Amino acid sequence: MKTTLKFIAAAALALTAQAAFSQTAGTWMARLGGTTITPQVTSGDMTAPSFPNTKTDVGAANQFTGGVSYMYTDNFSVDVPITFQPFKHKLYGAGALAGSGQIGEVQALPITVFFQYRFMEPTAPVRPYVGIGPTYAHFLNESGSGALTAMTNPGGGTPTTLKVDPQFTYSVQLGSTIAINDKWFVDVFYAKTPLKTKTTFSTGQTLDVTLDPVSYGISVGMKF
Amino acid sequence: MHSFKVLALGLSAALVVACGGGGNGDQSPKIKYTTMVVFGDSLSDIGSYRVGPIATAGGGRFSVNPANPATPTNWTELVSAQLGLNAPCAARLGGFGVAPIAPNASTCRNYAQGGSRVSITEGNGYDGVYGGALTHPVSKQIENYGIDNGSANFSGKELVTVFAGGNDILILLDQLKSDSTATGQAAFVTSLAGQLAVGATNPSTAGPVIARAMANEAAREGNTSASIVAAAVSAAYAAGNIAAASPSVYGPMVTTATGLATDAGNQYAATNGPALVGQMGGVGTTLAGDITTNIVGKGAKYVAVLNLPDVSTTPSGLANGPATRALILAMVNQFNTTLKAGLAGTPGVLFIDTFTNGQDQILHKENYLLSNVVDKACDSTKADSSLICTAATLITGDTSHYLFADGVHLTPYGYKLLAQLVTKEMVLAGWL
Repeated sequence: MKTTLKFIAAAALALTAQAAFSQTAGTWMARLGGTTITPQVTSGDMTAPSFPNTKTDVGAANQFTGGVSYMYTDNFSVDVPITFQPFKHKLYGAGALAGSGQIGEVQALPITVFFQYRFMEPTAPVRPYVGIGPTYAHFLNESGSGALTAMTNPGGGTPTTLKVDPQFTYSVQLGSTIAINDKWFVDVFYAKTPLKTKTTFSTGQTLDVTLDPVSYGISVGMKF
Repeated sequence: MHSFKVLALGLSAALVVACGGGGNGDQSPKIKYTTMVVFGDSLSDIGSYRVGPIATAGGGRFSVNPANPATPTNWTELVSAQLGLNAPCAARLGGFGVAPIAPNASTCRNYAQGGSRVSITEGNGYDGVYGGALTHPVSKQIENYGIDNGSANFSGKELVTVFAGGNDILILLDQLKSDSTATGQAAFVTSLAGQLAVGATNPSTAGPVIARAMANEAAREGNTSASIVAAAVSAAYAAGNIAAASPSVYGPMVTTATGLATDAGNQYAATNGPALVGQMGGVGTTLAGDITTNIVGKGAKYVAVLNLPDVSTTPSGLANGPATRALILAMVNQFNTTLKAGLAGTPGVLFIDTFTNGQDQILHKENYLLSNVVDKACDSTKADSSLICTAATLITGDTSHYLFADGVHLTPYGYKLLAQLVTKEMVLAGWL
């Protein structure tokens, strides 16, 4: 890992050798970019009434994102990633329902505040960082497809709906800023969030799912 | 101050939450079906017999009949509703004393009738005309579709379902039981008459005389085992076996004869039972042939074929001894095997394994929220068939999550689970 970082650092250094970029205490930074969230799904079995081995899978989602960071010291910063639109994740059938295609959609809105430690000198053109912080995973606009209704309440006349429980958890993060010039920089990060939640269907069943999403993103930002 | 700003940013992210509203996703089926055509027996019948006394009793479906007959109850009605089709209706209406009619030949496409067999006219409750059940076999149901439709062809936009074979098992089994009983009775007569004749004045003529006396009594309305024995004893007495009048003499003879009769009946069933397994194999092949030739061969592209559930674990099956239950299971398995083999590779056929799912329901009833998978929800002293079972004829207690309404038919909850199996398989096949 260390070697990889050194390699990236060396490459970035070569590109931005002339930059006079600095992240000293009191610096504000804002960025815009994109983030991909990929749940690493381990699905439980749907509770009764259900067919044996009824499981779900959750697809990855991309979204335009941004963030604001503030340097408390030359090395410690606080970072708030901002999501302008919720992440739209598709739900698929798995296990006994493998092959069913999309059975629903859920929108996720993770809210996290990262406390970060940034390595190297404030003036270093490449500053890798690690972060950790609380996450509130909020889910909204859950919807079920006709296939979900068909499999849970056929002919009942009421579409089956679902609700995903919000969860407090935390995220850990690994990232780096790479200076473009004295004002602009590129930010890349990779984060992991342990997350277990419960989905409740209007037909009475519940389904425990471990999502453990990994997210990564790239942004372009400027400092103030 | 700084931390306050950070907090404000966190809140701005959270603001997006407030904009969210719930909603239903796209509920339309993947395939737009024009109609649902149903062939089968009581398990798919939605009211072929809702006439005369059956209608008066509030019946018509082989389940716990809902107070409002329009309430979808049978699995075919639930599937039809899920497809977004108009409420289905029985293609033929009659029986139980009412001459059958086609209530609406242009739209009613549920041909399933309680009692129907795969290809044999004489189904369960058939009386030759329409005094009982109509029991049009599946082969005739398909012909009737051709008559109503003006052509035996399918457009390829129908969902066709086929679920039959159960009555073939029940009738073959009833025949085996009555033949076994007759064999046992004959052995009883032969044995008892022979034993009693030994003490008669002329044993060689007395034997047939005693046997005839027993046969005459057996033919009399209201006879009992005791009255048949009494007829034998008095015939033996008349033939000169004075001692036979004493219970201490004829009693042991009756015991011996009963033992022989039971053995003979069991022997008959054991010898002839396996042939029924082969016959059910033939029935499965016949049904598969009907489907490939007269349904798929006529243009149907979406044909859901349900195999038979395990009849041996229904309340009706459980009423039998282990040997008979094993025979029933073998018959079901053979039918399912030949049906599946006969349909293998046929395009447009979705084979739905109700057998495996039904066994799972019984083994793991809690997974299906079933409260009881062995007893009948309908009180058989008030409604011997679920055809006339309503809320008023249920046993006491909560039967809402019973699997069976009567000996072989499902409760509304049982039918809902069956509908879920069918719709699940259709979803997995890309049909829904």
